[in-house]
Amino acid sequence: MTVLLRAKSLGLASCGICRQVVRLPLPSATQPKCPRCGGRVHSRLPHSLVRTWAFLIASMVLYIPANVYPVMKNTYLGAESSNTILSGVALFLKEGDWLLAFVIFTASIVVPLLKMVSLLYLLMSVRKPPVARRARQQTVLYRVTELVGRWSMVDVFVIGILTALVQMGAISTVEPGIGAMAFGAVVVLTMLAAISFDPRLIWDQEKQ
Amino acid sequence: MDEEVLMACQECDALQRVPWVPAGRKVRCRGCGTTLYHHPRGGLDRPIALLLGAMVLYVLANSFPLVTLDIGGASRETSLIGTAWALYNHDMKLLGILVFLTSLAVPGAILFSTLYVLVGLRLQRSLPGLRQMLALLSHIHPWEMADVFVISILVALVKMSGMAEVIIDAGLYALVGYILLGIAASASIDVFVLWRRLERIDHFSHGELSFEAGK
Ligand SMILES: [Zn+2]
Ligand SMILES: [Zn+2]
Repeated sequence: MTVLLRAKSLGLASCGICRQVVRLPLPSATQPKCPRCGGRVHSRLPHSLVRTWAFLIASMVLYIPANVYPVMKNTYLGAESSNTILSGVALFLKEGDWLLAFVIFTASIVVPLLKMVSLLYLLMSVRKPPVARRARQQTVLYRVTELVGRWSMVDVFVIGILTALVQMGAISTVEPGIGAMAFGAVVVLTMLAAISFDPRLIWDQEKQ
Repeated sequence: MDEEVLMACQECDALQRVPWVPAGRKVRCRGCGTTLYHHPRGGLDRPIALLLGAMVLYVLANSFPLVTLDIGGASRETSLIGTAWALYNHDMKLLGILVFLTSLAVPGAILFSTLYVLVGLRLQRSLPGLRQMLALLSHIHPWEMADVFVISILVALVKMSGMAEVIIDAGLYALVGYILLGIAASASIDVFVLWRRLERIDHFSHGELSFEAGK
């Protein structure tokens, strides 16, 4: 087994767009441009941790109104009802729609929470020097976090589709609630948090 | 072929010389196991064919309604744009814009710019803006959610099926087909391999016949 060197320790960096390995100027006064694609090359994403923290905290704050306020208001033959994300899941369970309850519960509750917890964990752990095996697991955790985030949009789309379809005057109507807005913001913010995080930070501070 | 490429892993920054593998093989990082690149089979023709098919289906998916709901004789239909528009009109402007971007605009932009890049590379020409489009593709990819939208339609339909008659329209079949072709196409595309192809074209058009890997 040969020892792998980190590009950064040799003054090199991989272009984030086309993966060209570029030599960084020593006093990094000017960010070098990639000779192949013309993009700016960073050894690590600039202000990665600060930006990830900012997006993450914003998403956590908005997660509260997203769950407290109704995401959808429904009238059916004059009877009005409004549902939050959780009461929507409870309704599916009451009606015996286990699969739908599972889909919505996973996409709207489990995935956003898991994303927040795993980003929080990654942000905490990059401050400590890495242990080889754990760094590998954390890299996988990051990759999964980044991949699953978009599936949280299911609830937002469902609300949109129902709003478009169920406009039957006196019989039945569906209106989006303010919670849907907050939830959409949570999805976007957690995605931005994941994109801002630079997984290479997991491997930094390694003892050579 | 004992050509080698110098790469630094995007996830763990491990610097390594890796072989330029034949089509159908992939190269993993020796540090963390992430795929560094995969060399897809079928050259450029396969993804071009798949994406041309996907483009036809994308246009069809946007030309017909996706689903129709029938409650006691009153019926309503919706489409991708109709869903975004409904949210926009019900006091959820930002949410409507988000749905428009993720379900319609970004998937369309990715489809058209990928085709443009592939056709340019196939013709061995640096078409204007090709480089910028290829760079743009890496940035907008996470925001493409047409597949999530299809799952959402199914959820909405099951939810409605108890109280209304649900009719699946041509647009939904086209949308599903578009997504399947899109998945097949992205499996036969690797952005790093495309950049190397582009680099070769640039070298030839500047009269430099020698190509040094990884420098
Ligand atoms: Zn580059
Ligand atoms: Zn790696």
